[in-house]
Amino acid sequence: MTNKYDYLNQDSKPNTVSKKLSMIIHHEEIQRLSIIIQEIMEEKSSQDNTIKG
Amino acid sequence: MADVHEYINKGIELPAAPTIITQLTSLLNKEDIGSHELAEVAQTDQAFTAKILKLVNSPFYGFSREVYSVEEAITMIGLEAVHHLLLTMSFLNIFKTDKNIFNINEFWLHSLSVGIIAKELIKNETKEIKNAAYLSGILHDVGRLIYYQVDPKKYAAFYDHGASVIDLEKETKWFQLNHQQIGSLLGEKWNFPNNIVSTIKFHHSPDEYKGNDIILVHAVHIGDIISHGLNIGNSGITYVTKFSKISWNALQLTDTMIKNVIKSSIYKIEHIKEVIFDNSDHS
Repeated sequence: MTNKYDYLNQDSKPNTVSKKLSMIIHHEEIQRLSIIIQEIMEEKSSQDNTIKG
Repeated sequence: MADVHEYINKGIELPAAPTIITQLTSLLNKEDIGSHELAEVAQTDQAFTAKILKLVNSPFYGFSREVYSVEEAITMIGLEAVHHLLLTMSFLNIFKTDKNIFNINEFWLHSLSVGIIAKELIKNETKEIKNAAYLSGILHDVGRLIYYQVDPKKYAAFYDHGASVIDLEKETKWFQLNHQQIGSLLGEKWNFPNNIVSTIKFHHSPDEYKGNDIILVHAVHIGDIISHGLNIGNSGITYVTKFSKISWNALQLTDTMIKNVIKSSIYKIEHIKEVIFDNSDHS
């Protein structure tokens, strides 16, 4: 998986939301959190592309 | 080489708390603080003045003219942004590290983000509690910095041995105290209020905390998890291993609330981090 969510650390090591939270992802709350983060990042990416376009 | 007990007990090179923190904390807890009062504190240090002016004149704000006055800058960008900037900056130069072993800027970026997220999570609390959440977030992992200060080689060896997870028992075996305990000792030495000391001490184990300031502990615990989820900065760990359902439930987190907290936090973190860490890399 790519560094999709690591938008604040442009030069940092490859990492993902799911990797850091993978050991607690069995909690339903963390699954919800991960989905929300993913949605926000996709929304942000879409807005950035619109601005660039 | 000193161990952590000697380090704390004898105060071996234990840094003094920056005096500006005390001034800022008491000032910002006042209800009727004015921009001129904050400007007076900020202008005691040239570096602070320069950063505030850099922030207000950054493209992020896009003001049509250049701002030269600190007081005017504070009026334009708001007290909260200046508070975040000054408090974080005041800790930046206390500890020195070899960035190949311990990337101090990544560490403080993570800490800053936890402070901002924790504060957003308890938006309806008093100003004093929200400011305590921010400071607790900034300092929650400072115990790891003490490990490095005591023995950089041991710190490096600890993480080379796969200690890239939150494992408080393993920390105790290696360093005698886990990073929560040693961080709280530093907080005591710096005469921080009990609620901040307790939050540092229980941020990974809120379920064990029995005091009155539980809301702060919950906010920093969940703020830390959200920051890791967003991959903001680096506190030294690769995997989060502890999650408290009690904290999550106590904060009454709905999906809408989480979204708002994250969006608002990202906005605040993004515009301040470039100014704070402008002379460094984040690799």
